[in-house]
Amino acid sequence: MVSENLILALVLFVISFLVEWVIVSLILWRLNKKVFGIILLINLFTWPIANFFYGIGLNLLLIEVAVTILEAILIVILLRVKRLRAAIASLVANAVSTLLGYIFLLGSIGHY
Amino acid sequence: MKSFVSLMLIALVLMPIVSANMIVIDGRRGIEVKNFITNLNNFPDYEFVSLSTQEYLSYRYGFKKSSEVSGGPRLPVDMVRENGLIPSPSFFKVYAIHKNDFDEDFFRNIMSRDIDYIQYWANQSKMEEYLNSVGIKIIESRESYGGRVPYLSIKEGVENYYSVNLNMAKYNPDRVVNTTNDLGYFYLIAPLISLGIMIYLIRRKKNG
Repeated sequence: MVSENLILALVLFVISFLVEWVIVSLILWRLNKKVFGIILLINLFTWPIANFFYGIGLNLLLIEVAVTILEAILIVILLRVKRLRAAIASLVANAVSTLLGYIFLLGSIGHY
Repeated sequence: MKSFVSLMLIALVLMPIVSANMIVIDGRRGIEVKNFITNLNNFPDYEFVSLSTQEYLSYRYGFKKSSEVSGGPRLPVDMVRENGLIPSPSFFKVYAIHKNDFDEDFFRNIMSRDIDYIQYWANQSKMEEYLNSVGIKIIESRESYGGRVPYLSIKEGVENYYSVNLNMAKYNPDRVVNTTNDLGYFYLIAPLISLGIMIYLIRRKKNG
């Protein structure tokens, strides 16, 4: 039996992944299956860990900084792109996905 | 591929507008708190009564509680269940009353919903007097174990276990168990699989 929490987590993961994939693809200007696969792998690694730490009360900003750095390193290694470009891609992708997470989970931006 | 990306961009712009109207959640959910007495069977000659002090105080400050919805005000007093479950999550006192001193009719009357506030206060005084005269306070919980956690937290609830004795009141549980949901498996398995594949890809790149 799949719980409501797990379904919500999977939906939010897919949204977060798609957002990051589109942004990274645009910044790196590489629209191919390889980028899709690598960003999926990176997100499967960082997203659950980030949510676990957020769930136990760690500061969101601290988590996002760590995730952004880690994702930038993994992009450099796995996609062989320049460090600066990978850092910008990771920063923008994580900033946008976190903002969307706020909108989805806090329901406060633009509504109240 | 490019048209798909364009569609995604349009969706990204529209998503906040749509979600802001559709999803009204505060990002957090409550967790269930349960309290148990583990050695209830060691005291077959006693009845155990719990008094929710949180609800008690709420009445004092004039807040209406859920127990009032189905009738008049009702004293937040309940019997501890046979499995040791204390029917209050936080802020409660548990009294042990010897079966010879336990007046079932008194409890039935005092817990009646068909009373007004004047009777309520009278009943409250009677209850305090009764519990202090015949009851032995065995637990007093002064801490909230509840609270709210992020929606995607693995924490589902808290179970507090008290092993009681009649000589001394306990203020903290002997054992606290945090119950978790199935998100924990996702948070563990997904990163492990992904890490494994990434290590494989990095090694393959180095070798090739």
